[in-house]
Amino acid sequence: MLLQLVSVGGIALIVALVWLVFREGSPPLDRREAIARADHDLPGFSGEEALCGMSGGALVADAGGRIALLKPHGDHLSVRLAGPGAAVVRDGSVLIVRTPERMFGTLRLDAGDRAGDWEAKLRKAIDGAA
Amino acid sequence: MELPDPVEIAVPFFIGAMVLELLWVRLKGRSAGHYEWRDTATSLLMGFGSTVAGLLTGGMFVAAAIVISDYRIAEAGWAWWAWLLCFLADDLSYYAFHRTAHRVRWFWASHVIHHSSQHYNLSTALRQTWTGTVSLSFVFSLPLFLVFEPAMVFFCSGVNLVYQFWIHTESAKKMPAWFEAVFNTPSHHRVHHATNPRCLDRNYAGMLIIWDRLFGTFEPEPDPAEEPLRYGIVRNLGSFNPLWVAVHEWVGIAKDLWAAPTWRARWNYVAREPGWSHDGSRLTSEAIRRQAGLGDPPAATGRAPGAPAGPHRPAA
Repeated sequence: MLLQLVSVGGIALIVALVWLVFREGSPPLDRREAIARADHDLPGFSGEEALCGMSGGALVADAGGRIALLKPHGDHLSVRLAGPGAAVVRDGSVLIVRTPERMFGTLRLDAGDRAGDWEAKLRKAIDGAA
Repeated sequence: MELPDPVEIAVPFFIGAMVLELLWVRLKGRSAGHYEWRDTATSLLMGFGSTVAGLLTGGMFVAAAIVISDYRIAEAGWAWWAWLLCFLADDLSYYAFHRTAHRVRWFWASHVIHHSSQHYNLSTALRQTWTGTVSLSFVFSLPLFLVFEPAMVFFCSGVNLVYQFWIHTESAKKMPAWFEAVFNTPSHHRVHHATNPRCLDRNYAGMLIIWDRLFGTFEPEPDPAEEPLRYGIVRNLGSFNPLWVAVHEWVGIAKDLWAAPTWRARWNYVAREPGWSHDGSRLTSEAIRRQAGLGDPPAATGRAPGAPAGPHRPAA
């Protein structure tokens, strides 16, 4: 029981310390890093074009029209290929991409004046993979 | 003989070492590692949950050990050489368990939890499974109870587990050459946790790296300037939810069993390596290595380049 109490106290202490000490977050993602990340996480994928959002996420397209979704996860990224079961909606300049994986969540990306282009690319990629 | 539980003794040390590491990382910058509070919270909750699961299910292991020790084939006793042999045998059985945990999806479903953080720091060491005992991961150490005293085996396993805590860090670069040659170190274990193709299914060691050198699974750490390591699993979860972290691979297995076209495929979804699929639509670690030009030329995987990798990281 003492071990459990020490553990719970220790967890609270460490998490609070990490929150206090590492609050600055990550620098914004750039195009090169987004492509490198997609290429690493999706074996065989070779990104050519990237759209980086202000809040850390990105979309990366390859020559075949496939699109990698890079969702911020803490100060890292989690990557999926836009495929069957995914859906995209646009709210002004914000693209909202839902994947069929409920626990993976939703990617929201402010695409600025390129929102229309990328929305069309995403729809094509999703339909093409279905 | 009554022996203490090394893990219990080490808990305050774990907490103190994490405080020191995160302050060191703050001082030295990203080259010394990184922490993120949600990732750390998840890792520590997984560790806490693992101790609770151990209390609830550990009796299975103890009962099996007691039964097996009734059929002992030798009496090693408490001599110094028995301790030495027990440490070696326990470390070898850990290697066998660990290698299997990366190569058989049933065991991977428990072990993947430990690899699910994209960070590599001391808190990652405590990201432990909740389902290890129920998945029968302990069977690998049962043969030891045929020779050694049960308390000695449990003590050696505890020491092995405690040893593995300190190697989960980016703050320590390289140990002296003789130490790197014999023992598992932060450098060797960073390779094990990395998803770079060359690192998949490498460096399974517990305390002694000699087993990897002996059985051909050793991979030295690449120069970070040439090939920085990326940690986690091939298909990172994108979730900090501890319950999902704990069960996601079991859910994946259940879905695959449901959708599998034959009983043979069902068996393979449980017994084959992570990333195996009946239609070749996913990638095993071998296929990922081949695609990266590290192994044999691409075999007939039946998978278009860029198609999704296996549902979960094959190995790290």
